[in-house]
Amino acid sequence: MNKKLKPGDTYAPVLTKLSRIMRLMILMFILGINSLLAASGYSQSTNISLKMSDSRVEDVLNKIESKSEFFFLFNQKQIDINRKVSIEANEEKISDILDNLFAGTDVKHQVIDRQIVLTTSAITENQQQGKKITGKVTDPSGTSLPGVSVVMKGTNTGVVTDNSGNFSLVNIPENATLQFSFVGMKGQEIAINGKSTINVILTEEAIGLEEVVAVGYGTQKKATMTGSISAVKGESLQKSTSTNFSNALAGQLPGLVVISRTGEPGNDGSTLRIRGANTLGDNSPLIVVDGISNRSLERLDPATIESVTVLKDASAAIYGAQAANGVILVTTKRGATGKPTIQLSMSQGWNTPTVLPKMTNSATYATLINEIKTAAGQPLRYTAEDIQKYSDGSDPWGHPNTDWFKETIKDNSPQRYANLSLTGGAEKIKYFVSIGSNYQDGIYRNSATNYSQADFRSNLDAKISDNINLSFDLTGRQENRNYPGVGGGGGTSGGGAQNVFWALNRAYPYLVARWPNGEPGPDVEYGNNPVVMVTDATGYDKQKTYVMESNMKLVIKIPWVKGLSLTGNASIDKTFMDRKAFQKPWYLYSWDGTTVDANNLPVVTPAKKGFTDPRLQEWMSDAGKTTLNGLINYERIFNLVHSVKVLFGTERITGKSMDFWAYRRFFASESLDQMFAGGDSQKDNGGAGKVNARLNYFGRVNYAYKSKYLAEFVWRYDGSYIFAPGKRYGFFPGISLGYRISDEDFWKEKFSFINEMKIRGSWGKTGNDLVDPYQYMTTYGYNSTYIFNESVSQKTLSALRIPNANITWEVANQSNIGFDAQLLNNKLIISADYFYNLRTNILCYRNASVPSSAGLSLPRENIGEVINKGFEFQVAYHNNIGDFKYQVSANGSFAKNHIKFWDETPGVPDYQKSTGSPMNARLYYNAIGVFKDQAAVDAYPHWANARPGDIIFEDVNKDGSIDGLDKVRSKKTTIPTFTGGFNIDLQYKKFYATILFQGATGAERSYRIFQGEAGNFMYNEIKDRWTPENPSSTHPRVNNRSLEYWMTDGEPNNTYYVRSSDYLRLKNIEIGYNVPDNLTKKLGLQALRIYASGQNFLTFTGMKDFDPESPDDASGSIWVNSEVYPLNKTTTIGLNVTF
Amino acid sequence: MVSVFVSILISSCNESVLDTQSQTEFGEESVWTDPALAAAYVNNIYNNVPWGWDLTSRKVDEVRERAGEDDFDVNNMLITPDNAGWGDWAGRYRDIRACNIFLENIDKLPASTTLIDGKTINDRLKGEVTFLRAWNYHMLLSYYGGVPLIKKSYVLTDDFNAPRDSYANCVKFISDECDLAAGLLPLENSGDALGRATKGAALALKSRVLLYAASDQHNTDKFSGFSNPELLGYVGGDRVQRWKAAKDAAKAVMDLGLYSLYKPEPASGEEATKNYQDLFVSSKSSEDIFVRFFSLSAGKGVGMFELYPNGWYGNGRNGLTNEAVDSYEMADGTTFSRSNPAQNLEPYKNRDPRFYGTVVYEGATLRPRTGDLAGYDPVGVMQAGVWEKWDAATNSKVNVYGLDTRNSVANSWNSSLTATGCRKFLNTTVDVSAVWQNNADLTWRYFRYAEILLNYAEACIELGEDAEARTYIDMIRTRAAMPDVNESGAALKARYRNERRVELVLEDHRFFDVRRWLVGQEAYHAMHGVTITYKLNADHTTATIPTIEPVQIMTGSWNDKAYFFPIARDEVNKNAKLVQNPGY
Repeated sequence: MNKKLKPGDTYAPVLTKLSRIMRLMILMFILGINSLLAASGYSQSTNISLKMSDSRVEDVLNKIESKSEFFFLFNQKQIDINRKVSIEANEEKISDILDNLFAGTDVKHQVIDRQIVLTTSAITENQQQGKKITGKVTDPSGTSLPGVSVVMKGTNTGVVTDNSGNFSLVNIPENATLQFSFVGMKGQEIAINGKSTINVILTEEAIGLEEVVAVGYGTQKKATMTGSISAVKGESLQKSTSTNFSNALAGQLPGLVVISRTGEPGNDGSTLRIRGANTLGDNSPLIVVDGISNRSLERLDPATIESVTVLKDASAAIYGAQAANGVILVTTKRGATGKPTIQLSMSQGWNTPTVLPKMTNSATYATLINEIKTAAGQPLRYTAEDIQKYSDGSDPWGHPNTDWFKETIKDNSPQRYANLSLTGGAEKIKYFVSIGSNYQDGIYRNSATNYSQADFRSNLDAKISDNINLSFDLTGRQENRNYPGVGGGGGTSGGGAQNVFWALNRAYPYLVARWPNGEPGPDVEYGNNPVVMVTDATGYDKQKTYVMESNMKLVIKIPWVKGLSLTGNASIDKTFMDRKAFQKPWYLYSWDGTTVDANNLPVVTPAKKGFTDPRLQEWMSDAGKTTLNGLINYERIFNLVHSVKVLFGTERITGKSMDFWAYRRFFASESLDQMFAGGDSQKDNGGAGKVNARLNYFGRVNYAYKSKYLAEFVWRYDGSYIFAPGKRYGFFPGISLGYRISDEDFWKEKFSFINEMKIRGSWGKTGNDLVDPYQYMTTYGYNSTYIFNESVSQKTLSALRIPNANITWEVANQSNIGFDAQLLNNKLIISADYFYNLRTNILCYRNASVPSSAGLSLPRENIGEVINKGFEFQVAYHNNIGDFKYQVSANGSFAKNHIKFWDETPGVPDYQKSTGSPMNARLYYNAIGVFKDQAAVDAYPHWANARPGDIIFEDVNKDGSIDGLDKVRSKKTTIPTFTGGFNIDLQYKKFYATILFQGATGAERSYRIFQGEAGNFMYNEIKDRWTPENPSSTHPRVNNRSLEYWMTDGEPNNTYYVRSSDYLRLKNIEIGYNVPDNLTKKLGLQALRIYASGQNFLTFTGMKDFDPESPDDASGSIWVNSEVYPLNKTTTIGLNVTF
Repeated sequence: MVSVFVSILISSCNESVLDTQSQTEFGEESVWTDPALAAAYVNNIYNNVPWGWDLTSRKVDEVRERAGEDDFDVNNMLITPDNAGWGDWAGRYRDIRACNIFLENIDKLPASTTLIDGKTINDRLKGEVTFLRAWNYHMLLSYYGGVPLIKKSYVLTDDFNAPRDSYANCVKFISDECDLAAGLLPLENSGDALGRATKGAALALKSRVLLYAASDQHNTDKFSGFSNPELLGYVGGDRVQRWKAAKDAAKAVMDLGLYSLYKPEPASGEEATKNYQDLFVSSKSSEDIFVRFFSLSAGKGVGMFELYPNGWYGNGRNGLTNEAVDSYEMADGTTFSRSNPAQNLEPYKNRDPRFYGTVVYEGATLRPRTGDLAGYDPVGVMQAGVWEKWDAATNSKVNVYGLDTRNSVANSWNSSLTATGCRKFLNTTVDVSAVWQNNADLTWRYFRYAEILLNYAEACIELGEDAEARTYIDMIRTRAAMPDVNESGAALKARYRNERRVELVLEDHRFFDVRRWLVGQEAYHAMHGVTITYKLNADHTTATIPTIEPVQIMTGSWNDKAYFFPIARDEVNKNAKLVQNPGY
């Protein structure tokens, strides 16, 4: 890319035939390319050795260009390039060499990164005919901008500002106009109008076209990118106060669907889907952190994030067999040349649930139970007097009225965050070092649930020699998840947090939560009194996860081939997990209803619950992954117009993991919670190992003509251990084209209000191998035990599958077209994409058409096909009115899928077919109202024992009876079809505010709990119910658990219990203040920012009792449906200090 | 440095890196050459044989669950091909396939001459799997009538469409397989082989299948106009021969001389009750023909909490209905009747000793209550009633609810609606209040000797050999300390049927018996429990003898289609050759 200048030209002599604007564009382009490669301060960090005697100046300059990335700009009329010189330099800085070279002449040199501008003062003296103009160019903060090109419009005359941002031009006519341009800044034209001093403030481009975005195994300039790629800066994501980084992505990136399912500390990761769901199999995107794939992003410290990029289309094909669900690239911060900067961020937050179900009180509960009894023809359970006492509170211990949610969940629960980072660098080494910690308490009173984390990151870049750079990244963290013995975390025999919320929804309001002496009251069953379940009275379940991720990166520039470099990465990631669950009996107290003490308070007696004796289970696991890759990069611009970038790489990933667990009970004492202290009876243990391996070759070729016609080809030849020998490799290509039509002259003439317009298109084939390995083999596995001879346990073994030797990857055929535009002086930025994804070879079972009498458990076969199509857009506008600056942006994505083909049972009516419907759409009876009276029952086909007050199922096939053929496949699923975000950034002097609204539409979820004699009722579900006195035709009568045909345990069978989960929520709002410089200087600080923020502050939704993002299938338990640890509404205050 | 780095990288890119092995699974070849793995494979087929507190008892007139929601459909004849879970067609065929795979591979095992209990391992395993396959077909046959007899393991390229075989063919197949298995299996198992199938198990299965085959259900055309009557039963032929075959099959088990009734001659009714209780909580007994062990110490116990009434913090899942309670005779052999005022007043008094071994009823002593409830009940007596008491302070009547009611202070939701609980199988040494995991040992008896005796007696009755029948019925009754029967003909048949109902209650028999006797109408109707009230006397004292009144707890109805169960709609759609059962 170096450009040697020929004699006779002013700046870029070969360009004389091109229009002046074009020349500037190309200059900008050259500058841009340079900035792409530049770590800042190239000139400071580059030393050159030279030994030339009796050579022409031009030869010396050529030599310097060839030995470095420097290139020279000069006017040959001013510089005597034929002067003979002798020069010898040994590892000297370029400025020193040039000082030496031009010693004794009037030639001055300015080194601006890789550009060196040679000028003479002669020009001013010899040719002075006009005016002398001087001035200074700064950015809005007053920082001087060196290297800004200042050109007299319509001429080749110009200079570049010096290190202080000053420029000086002579011989300028009075009526001339000066053009100021600088990479990443908005250009300006200023008419001289007789002035002799012109000071200019350049502002940044709104969304810098020069911005560099991380892509697979490299970076690309946004302006010339051809793939459908969204990126967001780390600072935007830091506005989120969630301790789980995945939640920060909501509403930020068009095309990325983020669904926050639960707020339980330690388990609160969002479901991430790129362009919705594309496969019947696993839809998880590939996560790549700092170039290493299959890392996790959830627990990254937000303060260490530089940017997040999402590859949505064929651009992901470079990740081959793991790319079909899209790729999320996370890049962490690195050091920069300059003095050490210490940043301290601290915040304190308070969590409270976004929504809790509103339950009925005791009096209402009793009334409802009596209604149930009446309907069943059974004796009433409550007398009018009982109901009176429940309602007036006159008998608080005999007829209590307990709000269990209030008793169990505290008003707010704290969370804390702190991060300290050090950034800096010198010539040879640059560093970014960070340590951080966070803590999040559970929302319960006396909570045993919490999450804490400590993390560090050290990203070092060392320059070993001119051609060798070495980077070493090391990050580690400890994740602590603490839960009670039952009711947290999930996975232990006590169940997860779902169990707590199941118990909360069920807990009868007429049971006492705690007696006057503080002891807990009785349970509905299983000892599940929620106020106890959430505490350590049930024991503990502590999980410690240690993650250590490292990467060594070596970049070697091949000195004898311009633009060629080799990169090698060696990364080792390790995760250790150590989990210990010590569960012990707890005690609940009951009152006989009569015995009271001297103060007339109930005397209660304890009962042991949960376990007869303490039990201990411990798990340990050790997982490791080694990634080795080697890249060859070649990057050149030929004849100034043909830009070529080539990447070739190979990568090997191997992984190994093991786990081990042990169990004992019969501990003599609760006080010694160590494995050895347990009894020998019933002790048990287990463990297993796993290995995996991948090997692949990949590459990318970029070609750009005048940065106007753009083309990219990426490919990967991917090998995976999952498949049979001979079936292990696949080839995944992706091609994309772009056209920056705004670079055309006609465009500039006719559509000058559109500053930038790029049209893009892509097609690619990517794979998805997120399936169980070894499906090509017949294997047998142990699955349980069987007891012989009274008490002798023997293993049982079963055939795990019928092999499918042909099993291979799913293939995603991804097509995308889109455009990026900037309008109104780059104030308005629009980009939009339309995509069409055809996923084929989806691994699914052919069981639907194989009779079960065959007894086969068929292997997965590559037979499924799914079409997913939709669009995305992003619109941003920024402007300022005096000191008031604002930026608004909106993004949205729509994606809708349907199954094109998979195995479907023959003979299914069309309205039940899953083929043609969205994936995972469920079958429901259409609830079309409620039988108002017996006449209504008689008038319509109904279930055999339907009564007034029951839900009417639609007789869909009009056969006069209601049966399974009347179920209809839903058009919606639990994944929204439209998601979007709306961002507002406001700044007025030192104050700022950031507001993010986020929403989703097109999803539905089922909505029900265990209610009746088995548990409390949700008020909203019963308030408009059918009763004989108030016969409703829309809301059914009160029901007793699942004793009605329209009410089932587990998933509802009809649409009455399926509700839209559309929502719009104020996801983040932050208001902050940058303390003025004079004050911070007094405090000895560089900068100080204080802020207050809120997360999930407002939610607009039709979903009344549950968060619209929470899942309707919260756990494996068929009983638990809607009960889930709710999302958090967080209020935070914090400060950022820069030292 | 560059070259070193690159060469390391390139050499690491050796494709053999992808040749990984599963660390958790066995390859096919290792299983069929290793007798230990082959045996483990057979263990899995055993493990899939269903057992449970409710195989079928909530789906007929024996018990109702505390809520009944799971069994509502079948008891109200809401049986359709869309909710056809009964009989577990898919599960049974899955296991039949496992058997077929085994039988196709067993001969790959190295020949062994070592005898265990008189048989080689190869013969034993082959016999066990032959038995298990026959068992699975018997289960299918009992629910659906004739089913496709699949005798090989399909591969992906096979045509999976298979027609149903006739009922007669299925019976013959199962019977022949039982004979084959009987020849391969040892008479008795010793040591850690105990629990595997024996010759007796194979012959007992044959006895049950042939008894079912001779019964009315398969020898009566209930569905005139159904296109394929041969799927549901015999079309013509000699029914007497079927009864004879059934009798001979039962006799063959008896003639093994290995089994006897457990404690056949109790000294008193109390002892008979105790013996009957003990039989179902003992780990081994002389009656056991084919059983399944559960062992807490071996990490595989069962959850007793499901059976305990809520007042002991159990789940109260199996409450015996009035219909079941009323089927027990009085201790003197007379019929119980609620229209008899004395019997109605104290229905739980002087009943068949087995009643007390089967039912937890109002006033029955079970085990001490937990500490928090001891104040209400220091002894541990079932309290399903309500006490009306006079509150002098307010001068009004107050209701005090028993610990085992829906208004209990203890887990009210888990109260049985019948006001009774299940005593059979209940291990009263276990405190379930604190443990809702598995907490007890159990031996589940699929075949016990009493059934064989009853099978034999039934065949005798049908063959007109009443005296012979009475001998064996009386053996059962003597063990229960009940007087002998002396009826004959239809009366004997009725007496026998009630005897079978009582002796084998909750053991997965009545559901099938009412079908094969074609007495669905008798067993399917509204079910009843009782309300129990200790009434307030005029003098403001509370009665000590409660008023016990029947109350309907659940609706019910009968439709003849329920003699056979529907094949799932999807299954019929998938297999073009399948014929659906009548009425669906």
